[in-house]
Amino acid sequence: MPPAIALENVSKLYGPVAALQGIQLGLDPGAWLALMGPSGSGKTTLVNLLGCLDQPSSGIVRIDGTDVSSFSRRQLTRFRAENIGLIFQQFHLVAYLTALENVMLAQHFHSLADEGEARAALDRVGLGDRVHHLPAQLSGGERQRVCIARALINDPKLILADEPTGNLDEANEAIVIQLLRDAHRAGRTIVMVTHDPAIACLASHRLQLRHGRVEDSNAQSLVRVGS
Amino acid sequence: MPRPPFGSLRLMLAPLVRRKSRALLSLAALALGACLVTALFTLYRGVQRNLGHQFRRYGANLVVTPAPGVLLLPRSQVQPVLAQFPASVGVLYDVGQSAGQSVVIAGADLARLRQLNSEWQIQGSGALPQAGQAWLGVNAARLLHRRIGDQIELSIEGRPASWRVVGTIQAGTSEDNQVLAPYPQVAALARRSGYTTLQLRVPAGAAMPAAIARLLQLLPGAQPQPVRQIAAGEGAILLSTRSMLLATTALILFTVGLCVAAALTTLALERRRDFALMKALGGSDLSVMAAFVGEAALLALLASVVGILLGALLAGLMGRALFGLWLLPSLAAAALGLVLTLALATLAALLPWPIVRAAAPAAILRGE
Repeated sequence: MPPAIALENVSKLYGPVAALQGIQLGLDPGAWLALMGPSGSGKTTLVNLLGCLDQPSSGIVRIDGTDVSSFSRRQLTRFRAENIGLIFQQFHLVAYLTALENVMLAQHFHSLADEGEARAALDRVGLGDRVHHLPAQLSGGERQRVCIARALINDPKLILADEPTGNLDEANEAIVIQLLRDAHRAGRTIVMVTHDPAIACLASHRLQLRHGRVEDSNAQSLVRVGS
Repeated sequence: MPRPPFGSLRLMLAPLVRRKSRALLSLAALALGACLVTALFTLYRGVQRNLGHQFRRYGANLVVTPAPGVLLLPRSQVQPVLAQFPASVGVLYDVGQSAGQSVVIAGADLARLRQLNSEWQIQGSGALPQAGQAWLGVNAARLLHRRIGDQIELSIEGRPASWRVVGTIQAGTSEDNQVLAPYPQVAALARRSGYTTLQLRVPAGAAMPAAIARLLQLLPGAQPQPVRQIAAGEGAILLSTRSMLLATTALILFTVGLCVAAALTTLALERRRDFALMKALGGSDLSVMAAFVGEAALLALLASVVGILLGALLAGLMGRALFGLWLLPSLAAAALGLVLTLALATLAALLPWPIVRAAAPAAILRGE
């Protein structure tokens, strides 16, 4: 089985600024990686590359064995729709769509929107009774759960979560972490950006970035090549 | 089995339903466009039909006279023409004397003559003159000092007749100077058989040469002459009226297009973040654009229904004011309203393409 994620000497330059330099990384399928580091360390750039939202300046990015480094914009979009679920700190729900329709939106761009499946996904995150609520009518925790339901609806192999509990209170944080644990138990690979060491400890692997380089890792199996 | 895309349709409808105030301007502009296109197209068709009808009330637009050197068109040859051209009548003219004055006496099938000249104002009982009766043109009545109910003494080449005046006509043409009586009565007095002229009303424009060709087949050697003032005037008025309606429609569509394009571009600018999110969720530039265009098309569909109904009402009111008729929009007018509104909305929705294309999904992750 190919690694869920494999980065080979990946660099990303924004003009003269190197956001990432010579990153080497391998992650087994079903692993949970906590990505840590101060602001400007390159976490978001790395997540963008893993999420097929951007291309490296050099090096190779493989997701589930597929080299996406040379993909066209259209191929990246299709690959993202098929294989990647995104969870945002700011939730990023469409304001004029209900919880149900926000989940259906991800289905629409994947294949075909199906109300029954979307409703079941919201049921699984405990929002069966909030399906027709607009984002403005939901609490922060509920919005994040809608975001998780949307990320999981197309059964992606890889989940990228950018500080998923950053805007939540303790109670909602616990709910969201439990949902991520469930996804992890179901065999999904998770890459989670977090500033909270307590939450990072829940992951099976941790990766510390600083100035665009890997500063520290807790597992040899994680950084398979170099670093 | 493939599932119907109801879910996707729902996603396109949602912003229209939940952001009514933003959709309202575009909806109003598109409905106005559909309304005016339907109304003006109905008028365009109505002008052709009803202005022609109006012109037909002003009498013949084609007059046939006998071949040079021949005095009359034989009745036997004219009968098939009368059968083929419903708006036609043969007229026998002669000059008689009455009260010491020369007067033109016209003999015709007065029912057909009246039908051909429906604009004539006739005073009297309204009944057609029967045997021993006649109409007088208003000028002739004044000249001969005769009123309705009077007897008029006439003679042609010394042969006398006395007819009762049952009506006076005001035509605004040479008929105002004539005595008009049933054909057999005039033919008997003049002791002639046949017609001096054949007057016809045929459709203006391209149909005129075909009618003339057919007449020449039926009446070899005869001389058909279009009545230039009416034939040319009718064509020119029809052309200018239709051109004006077309130009007005084009101008309205252009204005509506600008308005809708501005409204949809503003809408797209407001939704740059949503577009970026859609792309982050796996939407390609094209599929995100298709969703936006689909939304505009649904809006246009709704606007078309409202606009076509209002257009039908407007066309009816305008038709009533212009022609005294309630113009009903045809299926073609409604279809044109629908197609043009949809096309306009689609084109206007395509203008924000650069905005959709520039929406960067990576920015969403950065919270920008």
